[in-house]
Amino acid sequence: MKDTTEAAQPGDALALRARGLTKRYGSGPAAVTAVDHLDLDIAPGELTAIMGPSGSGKTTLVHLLAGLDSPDEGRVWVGDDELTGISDAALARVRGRVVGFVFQGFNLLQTMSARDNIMLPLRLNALPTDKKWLDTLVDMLGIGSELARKPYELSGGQQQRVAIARALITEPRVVLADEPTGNLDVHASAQILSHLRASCRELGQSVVMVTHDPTAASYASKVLLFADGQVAGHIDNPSREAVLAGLDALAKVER
Amino acid sequence: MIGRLALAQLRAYRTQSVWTLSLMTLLVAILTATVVMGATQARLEPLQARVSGWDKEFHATPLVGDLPGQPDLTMDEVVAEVQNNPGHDAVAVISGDMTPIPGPSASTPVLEAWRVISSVGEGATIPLASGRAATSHGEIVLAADAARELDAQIGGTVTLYRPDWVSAQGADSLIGHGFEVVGIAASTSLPGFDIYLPSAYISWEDAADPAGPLAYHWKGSDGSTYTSWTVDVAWNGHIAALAAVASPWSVFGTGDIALPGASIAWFGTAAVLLFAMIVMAFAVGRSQASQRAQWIATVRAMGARRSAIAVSSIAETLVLAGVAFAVGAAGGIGLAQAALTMGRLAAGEPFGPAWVSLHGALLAVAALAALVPALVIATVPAFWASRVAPTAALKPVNELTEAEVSRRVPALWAAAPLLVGAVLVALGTSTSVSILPVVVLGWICVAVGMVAVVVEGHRHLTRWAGRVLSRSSSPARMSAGDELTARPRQSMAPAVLATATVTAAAMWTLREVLSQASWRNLFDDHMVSYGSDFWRDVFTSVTRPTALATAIAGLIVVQVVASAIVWSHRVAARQDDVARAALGLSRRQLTATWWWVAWMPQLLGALVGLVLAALCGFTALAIADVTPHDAGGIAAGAGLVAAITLGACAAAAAGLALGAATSYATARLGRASLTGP
Ligand SMILES: Nc1ncnc2c1ncn2[C@@H]1O[C@H](COP(=O)(O)OP(=O)(O)OP(=O)(O)O)[C@@H](O)[C@H]1O
Ligand SMILES: [Mg+2]
Repeated sequence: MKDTTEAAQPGDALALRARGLTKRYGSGPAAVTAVDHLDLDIAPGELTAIMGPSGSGKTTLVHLLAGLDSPDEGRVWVGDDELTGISDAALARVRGRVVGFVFQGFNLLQTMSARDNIMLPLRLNALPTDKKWLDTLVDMLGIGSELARKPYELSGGQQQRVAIARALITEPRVVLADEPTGNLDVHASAQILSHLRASCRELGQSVVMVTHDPTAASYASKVLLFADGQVAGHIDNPSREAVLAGLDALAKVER
Repeated sequence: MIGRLALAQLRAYRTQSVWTLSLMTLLVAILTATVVMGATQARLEPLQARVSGWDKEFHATPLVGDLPGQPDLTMDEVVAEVQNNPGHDAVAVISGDMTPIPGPSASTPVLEAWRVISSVGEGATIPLASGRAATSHGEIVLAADAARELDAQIGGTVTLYRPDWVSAQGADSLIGHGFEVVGIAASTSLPGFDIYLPSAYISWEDAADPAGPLAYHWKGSDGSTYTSWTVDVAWNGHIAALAAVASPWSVFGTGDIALPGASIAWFGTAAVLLFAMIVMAFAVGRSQASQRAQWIATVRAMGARRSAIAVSSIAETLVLAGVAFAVGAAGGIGLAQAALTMGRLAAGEPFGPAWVSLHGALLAVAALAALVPALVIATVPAFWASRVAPTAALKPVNELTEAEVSRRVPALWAAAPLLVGAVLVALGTSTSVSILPVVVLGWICVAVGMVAVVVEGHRHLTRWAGRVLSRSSSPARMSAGDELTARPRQSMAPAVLATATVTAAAMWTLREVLSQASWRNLFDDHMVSYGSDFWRDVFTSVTRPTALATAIAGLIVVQVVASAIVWSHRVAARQDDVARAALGLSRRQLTATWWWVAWMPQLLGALVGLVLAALCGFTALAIADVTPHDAGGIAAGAGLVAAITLGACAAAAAGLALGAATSYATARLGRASLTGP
């Protein structure tokens, strides 16, 4: 483990950085350490997949990285901005303009149409509407005919695509996605993953996605294997088979 | 099985159960307290009636004296009849007014009238607290508060005055009478209860003396002077001589319950509370509809029968009602006892028993009062839950959307009773003989229509306000606007309650101003000579403690209900909070969002209330046809409208200020961890 003070240098070109990140839930014998003294570096333009068993703390980690939750210990940087210890308003600004987030449960606003859900980040952050970008996203995700509908009138996969569009509409530098392809068919998820990979390469966007699907993980430039709140290993330029092998190894260690 | 389901259900809706239970307990407590205070008042009444000789089977007010119109009885005859008929509990009471403080001018000789009495007979009684009764010339027993006002103690002397009715100037001069204080009697007031007791008791020797302080003197046309007394004679059974002048009428019927004036405030509060509880049950029930539907679907999936769930809902209700009744009745008795004890402490030497009176049948009424709203409240969430499609219940779609889209009331329907009512009232009153049932029915229709129109109006108004807010540049106001537009029904209840509060305040002001104005029209010169100021009098009568207490209780109830609704709404929509946070809203902005969601309906409600108040005020003025009173040169119309507006504005301002604070508390407290379960 690296020394946290030494690592906390400004000016690093990293997209995301975490040092000694720790999050505990509960207290006493029921206490759970969901993220345990974790160090993490995500380079710009990288598509990173996080894989690991259920309950290993993946969702907690991405919440911490997005500034949605505050760590008990450790620090987080998005680009050069440190998230830990900054004001609530500054944190909100990062969440609104720098980071895009796709929830595991979508969290679409039930009272708004799909279009209004997608446009909401722009409205809330007083950003201009880029009509062309909206059309591009809608086309790519194939939700053109669903825009007027309310979330509860959409299927799980359609809701997921709306949630992805909402995360990408502000063209954030960092996208954090909690199982973005969990409810999608092979074709749709391949399309979205190709797009995410392309925007990483071409626009320098950084994407961190949590996934249980080895095929989805194989689109990433790096897979982090996560267990018990810590990074247990990583695979660079993974193939589907390498990911499966990695997960197998992880399962053996677990046992 | 059913018991366990009911328990699980109670646990699943813990917060709502606690809210409902608290409000129901409060309702039972207030009703019980009112009833217990009424029973206590009923117990006090014969006791105090006895002091004035009003508690007997027969009662007479014979003309006593030497007036030329041949009095019914002479004073000697009265005393003889009362004293020579043992076993009849007979009593004769002479009473008259005296004043402790002479007035400032010849035309206002009396500022404060004290009732002074003297009684004779076996039924005579005075509520002596210390010392002894006045038995001979120049002795007096003062009520404790009267003694306090004069700073008099036993053994000291006091002077009381009475108008010299016979002097050339009419009632302009006063004659002083000196007394030695020999005893202190119960206070003439008991805060919280209606007490009518004399301020002083003098000896029969002085009272029956033609030159004494309680005798009236009249100057006849021939120049000679006559004497008379105000005498009440009361007895049980048959006394021949008295029966001739008797009115066979028991003056004060003493039932099981006699509500003291203060209990109007209690009833007002209970009524507001009941209304608020039902409104809250609907609003909270709606926001939990799909959660409850989900619960039912899940439990059914695990093997519970529909009937078992229904029975368990009723069991849940009965448990709540039972607890509310037990705690509420005990609390209510405690509340009444506390009121009595505090009143007794304030009175100094209090009259009557130290403990409140209980009444079994009346407590049963309080129990019923707990059960009926409990049943309503328990069926409402089930009703809403039944509106959620079973398929939707098990989908991970959150809260009330389904219920929200499922019902629309056409605006015309709401206005229909209003029109029908107006026609009925017009029909009922236009004929030369007014048809009362038609008029009453008409007014009921108008009232129902008004409520319906206000409710529907608020739904539209809230949507409109939501749209305006959502065009704002502030993310918090924008989000609040989205919430209000999407769920106008959630905001309706606080808005309607706010409207009702403000309108009620305006109507109360109107009532008081009108009564002051007509009072003034009758007694103008008199009032002015007393140095009374119209607006000061209006202010005093509008801000009477009971009215203020009711208003404050009403405002608090509105806030409790509004908070409960916003809270449940917020809990139901928590996923949206998380999403908004991820999209760039700070915690402060989230708090602000919910502040707006909570406060905006109250603002709209208050504004609508002001408009309604003005409408009702002008209508009432037009109907009442008030003539301008010229005290202080104020024209009635403008003055009255100004007063009504002020009353309404005061209520609106107080409500909005309180609302701003509670909205902030609700918004802030509801700000749980963003990512928690
Ligand atoms: N709000 C919370 N309160 C208490 N414990 C929590 C809370 N959130 C998560 N946990 C616990 O923290 C651990 C990590 O949870 P997390 O949701 O991060 O897992 P995950 O890796 O995302 O799992 P999955 O793949 O099933 O989504 C789990 O043991 C979970 O029970
Ligand atoms: Mg997860």
